[in-house]
Amino acid sequence: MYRYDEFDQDFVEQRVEQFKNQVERRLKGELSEDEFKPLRLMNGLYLQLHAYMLRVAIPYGTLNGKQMRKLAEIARSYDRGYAHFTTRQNIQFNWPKLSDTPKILEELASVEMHAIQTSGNCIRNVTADHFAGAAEDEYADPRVYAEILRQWSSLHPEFTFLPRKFKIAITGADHDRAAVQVHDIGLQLNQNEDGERGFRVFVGGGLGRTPMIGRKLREFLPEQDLLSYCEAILRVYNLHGRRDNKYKARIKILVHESGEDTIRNEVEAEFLKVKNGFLNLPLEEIERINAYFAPPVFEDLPETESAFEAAKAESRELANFAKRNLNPHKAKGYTSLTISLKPIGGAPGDATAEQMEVIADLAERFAYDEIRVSHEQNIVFPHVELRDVPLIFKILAANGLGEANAGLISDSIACPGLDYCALANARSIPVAQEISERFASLERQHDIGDLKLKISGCINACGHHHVGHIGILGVDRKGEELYQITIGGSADENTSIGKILGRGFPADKVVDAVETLVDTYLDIRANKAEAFIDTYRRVGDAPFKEALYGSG
Amino acid sequence: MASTVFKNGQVTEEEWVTVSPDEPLPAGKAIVVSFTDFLADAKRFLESSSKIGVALAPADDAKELEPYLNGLSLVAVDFPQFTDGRGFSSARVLREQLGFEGEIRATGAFILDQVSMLKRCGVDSFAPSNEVVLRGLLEGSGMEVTLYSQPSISPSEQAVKGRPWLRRETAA
Amino acid sequence: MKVITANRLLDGEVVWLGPNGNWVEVLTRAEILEEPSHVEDALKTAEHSEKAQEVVGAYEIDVVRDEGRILPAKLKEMIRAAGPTTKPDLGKQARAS
Ligand code: SF4
Repeated sequence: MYRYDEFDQDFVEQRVEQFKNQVERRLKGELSEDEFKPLRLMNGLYLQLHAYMLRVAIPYGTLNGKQMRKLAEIARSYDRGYAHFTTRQNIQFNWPKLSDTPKILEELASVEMHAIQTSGNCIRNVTADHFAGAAEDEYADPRVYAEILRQWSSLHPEFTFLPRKFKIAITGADHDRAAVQVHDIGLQLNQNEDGERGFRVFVGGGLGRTPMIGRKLREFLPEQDLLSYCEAILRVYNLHGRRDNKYKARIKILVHESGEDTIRNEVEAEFLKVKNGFLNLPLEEIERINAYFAPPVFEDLPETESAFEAAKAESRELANFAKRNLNPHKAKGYTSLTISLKPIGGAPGDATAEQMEVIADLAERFAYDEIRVSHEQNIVFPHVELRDVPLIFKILAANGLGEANAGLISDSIACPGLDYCALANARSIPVAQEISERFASLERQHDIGDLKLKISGCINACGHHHVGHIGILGVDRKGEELYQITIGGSADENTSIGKILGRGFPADKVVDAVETLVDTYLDIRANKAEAFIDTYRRVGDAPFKEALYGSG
Repeated sequence: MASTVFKNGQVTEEEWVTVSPDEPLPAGKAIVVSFTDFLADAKRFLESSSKIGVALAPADDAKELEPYLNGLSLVAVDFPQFTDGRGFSSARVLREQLGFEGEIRATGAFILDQVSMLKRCGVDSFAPSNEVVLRGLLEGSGMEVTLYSQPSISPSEQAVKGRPWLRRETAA
Repeated sequence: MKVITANRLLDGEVVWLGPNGNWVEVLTRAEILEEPSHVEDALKTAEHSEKAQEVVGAYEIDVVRDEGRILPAKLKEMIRAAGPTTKPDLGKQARAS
């Protein structure tokens, strides 16, 4: 993975110093809250319902055991012994003190981490496919480009006071595991006819109040133009994005209001001015960064591992785990292993300091010291030998981390909601907990198969409900929590926005409603291989609507 | 415009006077007019014996000044609110794309922590509306940062070996 | 019936304006404001506290009396006054006697 050199280390340390100075000025009254707020946000520090919240960047979701251990230590010493992994591959601490944050940032800097740009109207932490570097189907490791984008966008002098936040995601394969079409800029690695590497570029996707699917500005952008093209997009956005209304300030609204062609022309015109300047990416530089992400040297292992097969035959639990939580690896005898942070009845994405330490240990012992955070709020070991899986599973299970539910209904995404978030209208975590309890039977879940359930506590859609196969949005109706259900959303290469089925459900009815939808699907699916989303795409929403609201 | 300006490491008295277009133009002075007023009658201003500056509001398109830049000594980029970052792009467009060599001044409600970013976008003088910012500029506080991951037009910086876009500031 | 609430600058702790213009950590000790003019005065006091770097983001909330106890009218404020509903071991609820 990427390692800091002297420059990176100094860079981050200077920023810690700078923030320390800002906190001091705030406490002395030299900065008002209005002035301090954007500065603390630039360092990931929010004020939430109960306390401050610090969001730490995990660039493109990649970290090692030492870093994970440091996060656990911070959770224990400065927080309440746990932390929350987010849908943007970051981690959040829910209870830090303002006066402690400079110290926390120092601790982070000691393991090459920071909280820069995890908030505020700037270019946020760039996200990438969590199986990057391991997946069978990728053109190249997208993290190389995510790292280049991270460097270029770090405290960009021109683009730190944008109309609104700006999110970039990048995926390495045709199968999109980074939801690129619902980002401000979505990049999908590809190749042109001459075998040169480049990107399909989407702009103006996003969720929130006005969900939109990104428009394709370019089918092929050569890799050396990556930064120039992004700079052109950002400049057009910074100058022309709406600043009169916070809810219309994202680039998706600009793209929507100006029209795809106008935006393309403006971006291309700006690109011509920027192109071949400072930002042209030298091939050597791409190669140099690429070397950091070189995969471990894989052993020549047999395709199937007899001991592993035997262990599966013996243990139902292990077999279930293998069925759901392993992803095909490009090297024979290896796999990418998902650690679910969705135990039945738990808060999605939460991990205790002890669990984080177990993960760190396992990564060092069995996974070439590489850990990923997925946007589905789980942890991934990208490179694991199949023969080690039984032991890893055993240790995970003993620590409440062995849930064999990756991609199943209880592997839901949920934002913090009204239990923590100052912007929320309704709670999300309890809904996720109740649903996972209702569907606790693993047998039933496996029978239902792939189903992405996503829950947000308000229209900001941090829980990505618009792109859930089943999405749940919490709203506030006259002081009561009410939950609106959508179905048919999807965030892969066939991105679609879910449709609202009808009136919302009160908190004590929403789980029944979800169960009704699932039962309806089980009744009408063509066969066991047809997943929920495929059935929906085949039959439309009518049967689901009828099941929920009757035919009247 | 504010009465004090921070430039080249010190505070100087303001030499620029703001005029409205209906008044006769003073001769041999330094006068600033708004972008709209200037474009409405650019020729008149450029023919004056005074030095001419243009005040740019966030929505004004700096590119429209292109034909007149040779005749301008100052462009004042205004920040009515520090959160409105359009001025950063305007300054950079003026310096990098249009090659403007005169003074680019940031005016208004920008904050201390934006100063180094403004410099990197080509701004070389500062007329903040807030006293505290001016004091901070004089004391040099908030200037801890000397490393950047983007190149800029700023002359006081050096490239970092190895990576083409990194910069280290060499002088204050 | 209203009370004034804010978060303490230093640690973010949820606080309410008490009698005497001090900030208290439990809602039961907050000053109950019955008259609009009292609310106005209290907001002015809160503004002073903000300028003195004590608290941030002060605002008024509705409260109701329930069997003699003072409770926030809205769920969000209930959760602020108690802690996350999903973590009974954290927040003020964990400290409650
Ligand atoms: S979706 Fe709303 S409630 Fe949930 S975390 Fe985002 S802002 Fe908060």
